[in-house]
Amino acid sequence: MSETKIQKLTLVANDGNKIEVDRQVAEKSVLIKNMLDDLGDEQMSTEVPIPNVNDTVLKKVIEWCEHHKNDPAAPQDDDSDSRKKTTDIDEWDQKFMQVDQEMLFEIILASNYLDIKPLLDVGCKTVANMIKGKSPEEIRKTFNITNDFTPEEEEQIRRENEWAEDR
Amino acid sequence: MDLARRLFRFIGWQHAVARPDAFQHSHLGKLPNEIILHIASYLPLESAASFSICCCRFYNCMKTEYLPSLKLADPSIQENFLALLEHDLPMHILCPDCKELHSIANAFTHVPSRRHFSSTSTQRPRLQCWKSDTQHDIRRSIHTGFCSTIFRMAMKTHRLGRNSRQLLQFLSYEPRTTHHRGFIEQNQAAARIVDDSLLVREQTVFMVPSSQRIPIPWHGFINICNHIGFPGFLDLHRRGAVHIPQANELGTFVQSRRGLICCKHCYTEFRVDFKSYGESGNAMFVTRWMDIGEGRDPKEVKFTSRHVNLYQETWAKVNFRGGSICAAFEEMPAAEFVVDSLLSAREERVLCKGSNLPWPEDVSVSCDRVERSFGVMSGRFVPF
Repeated sequence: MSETKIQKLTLVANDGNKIEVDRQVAEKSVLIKNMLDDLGDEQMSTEVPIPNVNDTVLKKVIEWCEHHKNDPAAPQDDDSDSRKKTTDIDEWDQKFMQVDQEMLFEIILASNYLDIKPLLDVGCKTVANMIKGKSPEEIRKTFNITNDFTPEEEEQIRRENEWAEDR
Repeated sequence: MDLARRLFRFIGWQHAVARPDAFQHSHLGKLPNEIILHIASYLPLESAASFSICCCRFYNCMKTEYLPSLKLADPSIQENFLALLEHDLPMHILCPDCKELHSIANAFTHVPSRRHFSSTSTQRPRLQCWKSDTQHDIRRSIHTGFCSTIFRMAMKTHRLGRNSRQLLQFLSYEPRTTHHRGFIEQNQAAARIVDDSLLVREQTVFMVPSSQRIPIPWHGFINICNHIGFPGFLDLHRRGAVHIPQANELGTFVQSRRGLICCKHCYTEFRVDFKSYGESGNAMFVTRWMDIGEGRDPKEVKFTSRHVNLYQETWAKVNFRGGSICAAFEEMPAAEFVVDSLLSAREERVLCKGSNLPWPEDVSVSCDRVERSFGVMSGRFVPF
């Protein structure tokens, strides 16, 4: 059985924009790779709809996949000892992640949906670095979160956890 | 109406209605809990715990994950977390000894003279910070009413630009008079913050009857700090620290030949002065000024140099300009400070009135010794 393996794929963002990518690049997404594996090349249309991701974010994700297309596949096990994970991010990825918070979270959501674990990790590490060493209020300020605890609830949490000796 | 409001509050309805939307202006709310947990997994435990108490959603999502682990974690991690938490709490300090947050609103419960009452009413054991003050002999090196916990509270309150007057009052004490056999002792202490550092001044006045040739009490001691102390008043003279004048040398003005003396090992300076009050008696003034520091870092030299340390060879030298602490406290050049200016007319009257107490007949003080006779009293051999 002679197979002509599809070399190019067209990804269609949720706003209808089409982006052509190499198969190797698209396969950084485990979602797309599994889809290609499951359906087989014959049944696979070269247009792949990505309904949860808009054009700008999809382009950004593809940019990351292009840069990392030759990276070896990451080992499968990880969550064994998550606390020992490092938050070191390689220099290119650091620059890549220098985007506004809305875009950063969109990239994280897209990588989660497309199942691109290394990109999800880089995104989460970037957010973790923004949180590290900050007090709850500083974290709220960083992400513009409104404190929705009442002072009584905060005091109760402090008391329950024996952080404060409020006599 | 009020009843209805109270009823709603009771059933928790009011809170449910009033709670704001934490993510109204934040994009972070778009991330599902599984990703929030993934982000937290990259954080050191203290930061993950801090993250988990940002808002109700994160708290509900992560409270069972990180807060119980924090309880079992290494004490240094718990302390790092509490340091983060303290940052947000203007009315709490992180106690470096108890490793927990102390409420500034409850500062009065730390006042040494009030601890007895608070501990009996709540059955609370002595706090580690109180024990630490005792171990380091802080009350001897500063004054008996001093408490390092209140010191830290006052400094934090000051740093935040809040009113620290009440806390400084806890670190001070009003004039108090003690009647001894043959002489009177009056003490007072004041604390103030100058250039973000706590300065304390304590003055002790001894009033001796005018009939005595040497204007010093016949017993007692003077502690200047944990490095300078005089077990007897004549030691002031013997060690060459201070010239003790004869009563007939004294004028009605304050005399101090030596001026300010500085401790070489902690930020303390003191002076000893004498003044004649005529027939009412002769007074000896011992005035000390201390710079206790910023109260931010428990290892700050201005504070730790005051700790008791029996190994004299390990005493480190400190460097400060003589007279600078007095000048900063009094807001005038040290030489211009008038020693008896701290006494109000009322306190002066108390001193003068009390000095008529009879001097023990069997005690005589000369420049180089105190002589005491012994006798039999109630069948026992006792001094006097």
